[in-house]
Amino acid sequence: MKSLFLFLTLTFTAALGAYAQDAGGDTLDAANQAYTEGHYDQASRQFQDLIQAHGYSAALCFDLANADAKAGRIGPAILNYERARYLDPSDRDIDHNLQLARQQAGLKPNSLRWWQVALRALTINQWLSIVDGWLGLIALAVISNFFVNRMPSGRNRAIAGKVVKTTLFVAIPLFLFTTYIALLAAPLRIEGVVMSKDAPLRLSPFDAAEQIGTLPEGELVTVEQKHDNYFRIESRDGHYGWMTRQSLEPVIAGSFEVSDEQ
Amino acid sequence: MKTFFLRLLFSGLLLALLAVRGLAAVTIHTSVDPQELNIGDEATITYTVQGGNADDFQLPAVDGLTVEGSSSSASFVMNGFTVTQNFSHTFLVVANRAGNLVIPAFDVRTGDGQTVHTQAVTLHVLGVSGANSPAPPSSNAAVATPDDTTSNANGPSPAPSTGSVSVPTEPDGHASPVFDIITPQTTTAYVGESVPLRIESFIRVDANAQQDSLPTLVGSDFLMNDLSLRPDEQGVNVGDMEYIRDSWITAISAPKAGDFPLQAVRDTYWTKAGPAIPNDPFGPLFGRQAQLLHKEISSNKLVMHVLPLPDEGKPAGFTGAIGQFHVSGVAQPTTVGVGEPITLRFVVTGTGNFDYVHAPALADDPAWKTYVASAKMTYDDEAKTQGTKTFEQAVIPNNNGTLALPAATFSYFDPDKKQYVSLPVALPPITVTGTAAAPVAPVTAPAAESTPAVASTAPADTFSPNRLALGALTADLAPSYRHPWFWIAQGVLVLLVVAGLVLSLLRRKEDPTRGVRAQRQASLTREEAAMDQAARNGDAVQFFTSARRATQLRLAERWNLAPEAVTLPEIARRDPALAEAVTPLFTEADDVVYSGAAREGLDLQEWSRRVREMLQPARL
Repeated sequence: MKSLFLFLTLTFTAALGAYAQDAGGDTLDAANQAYTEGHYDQASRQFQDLIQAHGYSAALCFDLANADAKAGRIGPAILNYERARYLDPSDRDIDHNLQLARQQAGLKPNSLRWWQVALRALTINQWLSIVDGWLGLIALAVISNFFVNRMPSGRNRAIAGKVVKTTLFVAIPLFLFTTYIALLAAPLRIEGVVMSKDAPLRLSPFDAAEQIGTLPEGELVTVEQKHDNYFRIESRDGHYGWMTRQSLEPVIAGSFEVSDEQ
Repeated sequence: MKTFFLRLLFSGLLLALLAVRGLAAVTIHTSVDPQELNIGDEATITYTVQGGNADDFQLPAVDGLTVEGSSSSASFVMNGFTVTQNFSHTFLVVANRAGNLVIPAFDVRTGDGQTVHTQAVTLHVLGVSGANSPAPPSSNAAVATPDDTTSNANGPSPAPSTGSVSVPTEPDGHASPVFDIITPQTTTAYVGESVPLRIESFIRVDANAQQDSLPTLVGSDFLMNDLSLRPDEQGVNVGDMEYIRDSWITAISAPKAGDFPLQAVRDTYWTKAGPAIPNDPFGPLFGRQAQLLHKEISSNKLVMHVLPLPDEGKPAGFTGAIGQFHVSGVAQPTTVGVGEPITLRFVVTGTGNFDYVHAPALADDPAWKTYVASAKMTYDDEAKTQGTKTFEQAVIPNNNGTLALPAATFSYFDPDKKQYVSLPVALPPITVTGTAAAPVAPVTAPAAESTPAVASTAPADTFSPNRLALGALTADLAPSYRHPWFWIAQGVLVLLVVAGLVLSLLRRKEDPTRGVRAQRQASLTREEAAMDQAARNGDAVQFFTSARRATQLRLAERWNLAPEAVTLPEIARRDPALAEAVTPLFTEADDVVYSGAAREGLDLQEWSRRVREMLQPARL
């Protein structure tokens, strides 16, 4: 029954994906055509429509970022390169374009180190799926053990017992290890990209508060706290200050709303 | 006869009791209440003679102190089989002048001829007439110290307050056993200015109190630097009482202008006064043990006057730095090609709010492309207001020739001078050779970060081309753990694991043959061990006896028989193939056991290996 359910789910997902690919293929071609002809604003809009209609992918975010970069919108470009890198950290072209865009914005490079690339060889959701797989196997082995104990003594029972024990011996350490990796890979801190030019950084979360500096467009910051319409952020070089919500866009869309709930 | 022995026993006990009493040393204790008072106020001084009596008790004459009256009382305390006699003499005194009035130590002769020495007593008399003096401040009231800085804009540095501290008093007039004091360097500051602050927590050594938490500021008008988890701890004398003082040095800053109260609080765990009966041995039994109570101790309350930074004269590159700073700068190398980076290194030293110290602002200059500076901070003091901040910033020349670097200016606000200061930073001219080249990455970034993990296929200065396929699509960028269904799935899996474990446990409990099987398994382990031992000792009789028994146990478990019922005919009936494998062992065992000796050339180690292999659960 479980196998049948799994089969149906996979079939449905594959069919849905194939439909989405077909439906989005034409629009993607059109957007790429506009990009090739130098109509970057039009290409950008078409890529955004694709994302709205079919969801995010590393390729779509990458193409959208390219169009924004060519159109001179450095903030949205870096934001979408960051999103593309989040979805596919090992893609060297995404990292290359991101660093180039940061360089053009006068920002320091933020390439991932080799171990960060290794850690993100899989997305966080894929790591979590592996964790679930091991947990499922452990559950299966524990339940199987119950039935093995009901078997009559003899060779079959001895073999089945050995299989269950070996499964547990392998699955439990791997479950713990992949859980640890998933924790390391999880984006536990909320990150955002500065979307406006020379966004003011204030001493406290009020419009009349002292301005203590500005952050350049495209800079990646970590959101620490929220107060009304302001976020307390930490910049890459360790400075803290308050910035308006309108000046920032989250790398993981929707994560600012999560911070609201927290 | 019985009565005689009872009398003898009672007399012995009485003699022992009296002997103990006679041997007990006479001591004298002194207490003063209150220790601090105003002129005209009364205080009681009590001398308690423990273990003896003293009728002739005269207080020495002290200038400024009048004895208004005295009283005495006696009490007997029985502690186990020991009876102690205590005499208390209380003097009511009135202070006539301000200052520290000392009642010197004196000798007291007790009734049994011993001489005991009292301790000197000091009364702190304040120069306020008692008749007009206000009620004693509670522990939450401001602490009156000579160093009180509430009205001193340029107050003292936050030095330890011992010696200048008056112990706050409780509403009942007793000195507070626990109190906190805060001492800011100044009570007038500008918005964003870092003000060093000393926080001290005092606990009297005899107070049943414990403080495990860090002090915090009341309200949200100020931001405070993190406190170290382990404060500086010292024993100090305050008002002739011994205290343990925890002290921290930190810094505060105010985000907005105005007058704001400044007060710290710290959680304290108090040990409530114990059971009604001192040294009650049955206290713990009847729940009369001491209880912990939670209390929040507030420090003295000050008012900080936070001034807005003036708009007049504010430099364009001002980033919020307030304090006194010095800045220097160097450029390296001074000869480069067009497009090659030069590292500018700025060092800012001084005192102030280093969080808001940014790299000197570089003037816009079309001849140069500038990059964002990186910063490194080193603090020289605990409050984190003194130190050195070093910036490294990359600039790249766009033209060749001898070029002046962009003008660098560092601006800050000096709170002492109450004005903005702009310091120009001198930088050397740069010789630029060659022609324009493609830009390269700045050198300020750490090498590890500036090197891409994997090289792109695209040229260094052009964007990689677009992707032509949609790729794997996801409706939501949020990780799956942010969705409720993820946690429901985890819960289901964990429940399955728990259910499997519970079922296995129940199965083990329900299995009626579990005990028998466990017993057989233990027997099997024993026989195997005996078999190994016999093989090592060359004892063939023991070896084959144990080997045959082990085989019987294993087969008995498989066929659910009594081990004794597992014979060669029975094995042959149930499993002829197995009988063929087991027969040599049983035959050899019969021969050895009945003959009492092994035949020549019998290799017990080889037999041991064969039997062990045969006993594997998967084989039998």
